[in-house]
Amino acid sequence: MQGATTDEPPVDLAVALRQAGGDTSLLIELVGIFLEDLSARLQALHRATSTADMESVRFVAHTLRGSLAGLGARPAAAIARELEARADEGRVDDAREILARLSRELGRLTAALAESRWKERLCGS
Amino acid sequence: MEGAPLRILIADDDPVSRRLLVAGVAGADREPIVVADGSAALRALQQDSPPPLALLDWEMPGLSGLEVCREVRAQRTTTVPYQILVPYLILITSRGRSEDLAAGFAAGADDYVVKPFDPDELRARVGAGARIVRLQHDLADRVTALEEALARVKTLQGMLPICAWCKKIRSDGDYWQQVDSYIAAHTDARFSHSICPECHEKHVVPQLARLRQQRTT
Repeated sequence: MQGATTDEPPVDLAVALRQAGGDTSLLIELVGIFLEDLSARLQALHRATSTADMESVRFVAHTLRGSLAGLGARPAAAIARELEARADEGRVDDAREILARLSRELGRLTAALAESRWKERLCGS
Repeated sequence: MEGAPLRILIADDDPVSRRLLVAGVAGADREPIVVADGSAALRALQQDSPPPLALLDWEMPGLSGLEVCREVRAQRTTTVPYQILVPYLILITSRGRSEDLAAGFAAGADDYVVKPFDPDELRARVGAGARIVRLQHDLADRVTALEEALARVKTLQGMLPICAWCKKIRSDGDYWQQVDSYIAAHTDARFSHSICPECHEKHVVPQLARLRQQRTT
């Protein structure tokens, strides 16, 4: 499994909008739901990884992947999938390394989603 | 049943997917019921009047969507009088391999949607499920009507002991009854009495002749 390359945009708004059935206000709502939940989920991932609770890591990573895929955040979804797979195999050290990568990618994603420009671009298109 | 909105259970622990599912099934004649884990989903499906259609995420805390499917299929037949009234279950999952699909159907799922899903595909699959649900309900209504009708109809079958001469029938209490009263008592049939031409010649004509003779003498 290959990690995301940094030049791939963290979110593909065209994909996200298609998955939201072309409804811009729904997409804006989904981003809000995602951002509201994100820090709690990341905390849960860090906590579970530090206690080597791989079952919880697998579970939270899986749920997070669902959100990321639904929002068209392909690179982050790919890393979450990797984390889920390694946790399933019980590989704690790999999980730590992947979680660090996931945190960085989620930082990039939230920065992109926090920009107000994407909403304007979306509504203008 | 007609006119009432179709209740659709949505069970997913991921809030983004949950919102997408609710948006995906939205419609004027639809009523989404939203839960966030498998145990709540099973409770909703075990009520007296469960939602007839359900979208179940495979991986959920508590019970998985797969386990919910199994539980529902295992219990339905004993708790509901008409076995045709079983909920239509659609599994939602990111597992798209054919062995996962097979496991989903083996657990009792009726259909399968792979995440991230295309909203048009979801809508189409929910529409297909809604069609089956409607057919099942029409069928159940028809069965109920037929059973009620059947309960009203009395039938006669088997051997009836009948007198070779007078044609009386022996009833259960060793009592000889006229054919017409026996049939009236054992079926919904009723008799209107008249006289056939043969009996008219044999019985009525001689009687009338006798009467006429009496009057002249």
